[in-house]
Amino acid sequence: MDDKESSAFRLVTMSRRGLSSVSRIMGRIAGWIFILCAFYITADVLLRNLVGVSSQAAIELTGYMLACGTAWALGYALIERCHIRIDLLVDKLPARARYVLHAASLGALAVFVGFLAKGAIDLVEESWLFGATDISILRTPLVIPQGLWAFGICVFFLLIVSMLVESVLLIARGKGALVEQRLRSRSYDEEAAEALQAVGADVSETQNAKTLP
Amino acid sequence: MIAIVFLLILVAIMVGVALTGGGQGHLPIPELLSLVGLFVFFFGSGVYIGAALGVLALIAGFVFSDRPFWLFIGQTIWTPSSSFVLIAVPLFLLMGEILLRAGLSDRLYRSLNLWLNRLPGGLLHTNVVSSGVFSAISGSSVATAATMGSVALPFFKNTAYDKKYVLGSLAAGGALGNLIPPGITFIIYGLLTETSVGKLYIAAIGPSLLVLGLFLLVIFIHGYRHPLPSAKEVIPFRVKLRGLIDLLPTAILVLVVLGTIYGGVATPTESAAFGVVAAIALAAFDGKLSWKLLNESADATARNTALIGLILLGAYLLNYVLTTLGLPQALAKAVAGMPLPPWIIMALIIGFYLALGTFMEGFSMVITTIPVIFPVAMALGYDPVWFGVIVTILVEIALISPPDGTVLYVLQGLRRDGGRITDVFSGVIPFLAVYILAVAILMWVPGIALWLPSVMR
Repeated sequence: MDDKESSAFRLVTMSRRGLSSVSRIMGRIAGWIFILCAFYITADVLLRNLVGVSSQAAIELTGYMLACGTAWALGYALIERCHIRIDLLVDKLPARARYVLHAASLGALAVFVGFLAKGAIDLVEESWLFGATDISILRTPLVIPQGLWAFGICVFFLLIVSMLVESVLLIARGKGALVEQRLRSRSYDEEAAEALQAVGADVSETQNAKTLP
Repeated sequence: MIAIVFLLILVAIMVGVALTGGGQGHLPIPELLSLVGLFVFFFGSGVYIGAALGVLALIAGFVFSDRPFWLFIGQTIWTPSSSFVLIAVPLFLLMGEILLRAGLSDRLYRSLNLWLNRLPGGLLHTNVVSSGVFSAISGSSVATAATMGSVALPFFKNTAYDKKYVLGSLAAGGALGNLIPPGITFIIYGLLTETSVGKLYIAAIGPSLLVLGLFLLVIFIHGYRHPLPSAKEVIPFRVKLRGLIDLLPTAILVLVVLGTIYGGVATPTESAAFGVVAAIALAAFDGKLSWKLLNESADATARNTALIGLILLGAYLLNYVLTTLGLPQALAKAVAGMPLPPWIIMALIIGFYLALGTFMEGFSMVITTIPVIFPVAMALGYDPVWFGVIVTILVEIALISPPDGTVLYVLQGLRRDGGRITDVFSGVIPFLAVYILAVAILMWVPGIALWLPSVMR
């Protein structure tokens, strides 16, 4: 019995880890999509004005890049605890209640994103059924960008579910502290430290002011 | 805590006035109250803001609407998610991230300092002006505060400057990043309210100058009342002129980004794309360009875009459901029918944002509230462009209002003197007061924002 349960737990942890690595890679790709997007728009505008040649599809294609880039980065932002939560009251509660609330907020996210994923898949099916294309010169079949977009949302959903199940199991085993470490929202200190690291300031010796409750 | 009590009182007043308003009682009070109650509950329990909005939309849809709204979820979120206007958000974020890592700000600060250090208040002016100039190209307050702060603070080592003012001026200058075009808040506001982003950028010029001028005035008065003992040597004019060369990269970027928008050559999205390419080119020119820089910038952009994106997805869904229920329209009608002059209601709205801003981050504050508040402001007869400028100033106030506010913690993290965060808090207060004064002036003289757009089109 106990053996069986722990093997189930291992399975959950493994899938969470797998989905996390996939999300991390997708996040990096999403960032590069935005870099490409900048070069594409610039090139398109320059060519249009200087040579009179344009892809005539910049508005549509960059729109798809945005939708996909955002959807693909959602999971990465979740692992990095970037999605914003207002935990004004949560911090004042005893540990056990906090752990439950962390899991509950993940549960609410799962419900919301579950509906989004369902809606996205339905949209892709519809576009497939009607062979919908956009109105640009390329006549892009909408299934392609919408499919990539829906894929991003679905991976995000699976990641949330795996994290939720793992969190519930961890809390049940009395390891709620681990859940909190993974889910609690970023403190202002952490945000600041990240920006400072980016400008090359040495953060290690900085005295960290405790965030006021 | 005080802020929350204030918010609750505000809601109570609103409900009270709406109930006693008599005739125009079309407002679905029970529905509205249960939704507000649920929202407050979600917020308090730390649910992700995007999820709070989304789940609220689902509940409202299933309970109050008899239409099968869930059939339209896909289309409802796909159309705005792939909007050309919105691409400007990740692109400006990307540009800020690249500039943050490329170290452009150092030369900007030195160069401006040559020109400003003789004024009463000296280096403090340089803080505000260089932050203002930098924010004109970066569009992100945290990035502005981090770069300018890291450059500026070493200059103040072993000087007699009041460190509260040093930190306060850097925080205030950093917050300016949203108001001085091209800010991201304007793009999101424009998208949510279908207001022209170009017009918002033009309207922001007057208020930006107003706030900047008031900041300099505060520093001037401070410098005049607390003159510094160290008389500085006079810098020869030739050195000053040569210093202008260091302003060149910044000037190029301003020209590329703002020049193309104001010149009518490019849409904000296109100019954001130019800005990214120019920032990468400048980084390459300086020998700072590397895969590491690009990868880190890409990662940070992806994270922050997803952060905004998730909240937007929730807001689109909620917006769709509420609009099919006719709630914002009913609310707008009820508020407009209140026996109060519009400016009092606008003052209440501003008070609401000030209170919200003490514990809520700027973007989420705008995305969460604008779909409901905007129709109310319109029903009161306010101009959408003017309201956009006001909201953006309120976001800046949220960024630097203690005890939360990322910008404040960025500056605290940069300090080497081991002081307490309360120095930053008290240092920023005079500048917060200036912001609130600026809002009041804008309410009094809306022309400061609206005159330029009216003559430019």
